[in-house]
Amino acid sequence: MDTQRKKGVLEICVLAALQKEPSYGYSIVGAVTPYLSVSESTLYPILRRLEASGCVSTFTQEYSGRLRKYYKLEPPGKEKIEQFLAEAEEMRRIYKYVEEESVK
Amino acid sequence: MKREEFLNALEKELSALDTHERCCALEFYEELISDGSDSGADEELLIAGFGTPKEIAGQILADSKLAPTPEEVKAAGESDSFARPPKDGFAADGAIHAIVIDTGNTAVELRPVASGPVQVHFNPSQHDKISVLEENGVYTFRHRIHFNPFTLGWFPAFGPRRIVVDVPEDYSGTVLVTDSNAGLTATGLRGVTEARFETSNARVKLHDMHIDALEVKTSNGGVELQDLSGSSCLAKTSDARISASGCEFSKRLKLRTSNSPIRLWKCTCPDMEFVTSNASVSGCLTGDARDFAIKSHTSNASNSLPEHMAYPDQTKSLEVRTSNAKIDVRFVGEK
Repeated sequence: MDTQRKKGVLEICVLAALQKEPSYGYSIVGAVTPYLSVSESTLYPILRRLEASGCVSTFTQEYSGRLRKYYKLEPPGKEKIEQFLAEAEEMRRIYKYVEEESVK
Repeated sequence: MKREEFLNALEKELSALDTHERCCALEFYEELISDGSDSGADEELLIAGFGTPKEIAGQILADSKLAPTPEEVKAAGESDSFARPPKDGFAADGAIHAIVIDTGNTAVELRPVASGPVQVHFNPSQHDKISVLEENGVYTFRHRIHFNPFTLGWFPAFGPRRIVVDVPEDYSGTVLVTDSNAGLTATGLRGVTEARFETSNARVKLHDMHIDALEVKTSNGGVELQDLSGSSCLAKTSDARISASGCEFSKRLKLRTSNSPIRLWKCTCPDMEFVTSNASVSGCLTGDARDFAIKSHTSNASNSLPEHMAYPDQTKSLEVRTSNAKIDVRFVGEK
């Protein structure tokens, strides 16, 4: 996938992974990888950016004698997901059009 | 690569980041390794999957430039404030032939001093971002009010402050002042070769100076020119008055505004042009009316000048235009 597009979609996937409950780095990678190959080198900048823009907040919790950083979805992040879903119908129509034209 | 080896290498690659940012990144990767091995992954394979420390650092560094966190913005505003610490103001070290003052929302005053260096007096607060540069005789003072929306109480920075520039009386060179929303004043400089004063929504006052080529530009604020001499003067504003008294220019004198009057008192120049609208142009010029080719026009009001009168032997020219208001310009004898 084109890197620019992947970057945008990846952000949404990361936000989606946090919808049910707050999660941590390793678990987010695990949740997203089946759909998109997310290398750990791209995940950190994404989380950092999401944090800076207020889409997620962070807190640390102790886990088996060490600290783990959790990421929690915030309202601006939820809004981003909703926006993405609202565009889905439009994207589907565009895909359909491109597909149909390619078949001819 | 083992955990320690990897983290050390990454730390080195991230040395450009500040301590806090670097720690955050290292903690993130350390946590990934811990969580990975806790769930049974092979540590070395896991680390190999991350990519090289250089690649990872490249991603992080590229991103940190694009999107600084609020903390970073704040930190930058605090640390980069001074290119040079203010000792007795910001004084130039060497000989200067061009003075550049670039600011916004802060009034600027140029004043003559008997001797001493070109020097800016300004007492910056934590919200002021200043850079002073002196290069090949060009002295540049740049200032911006930097306010961080995350910091409350930035508004006192807009108080009645001014940047005062000491210019030696015998200064010979150019002056360039750019501002916005704040007034400019200058007085007493006798050897300026070229000067441009530009601001907006504020007045410009220039007194008692010799400036070879003078250009003044503002808007919604008056222009006051008094006892100036040189070869050419162009002044432009809008919705505010222009007054010129005792001005003597050897090539041209052009004043332009709108919706406000132009007042003249004993000005002289071989090529004059005064343009406004909905307001009068009045006053007296020094010289003999017969030397001037005159063009003038107004509407719905009286005009003391001929609308069009020119003879081939006239080398001087005067043009006056307005509307809905009178033109009352007269010539008086040499002063």
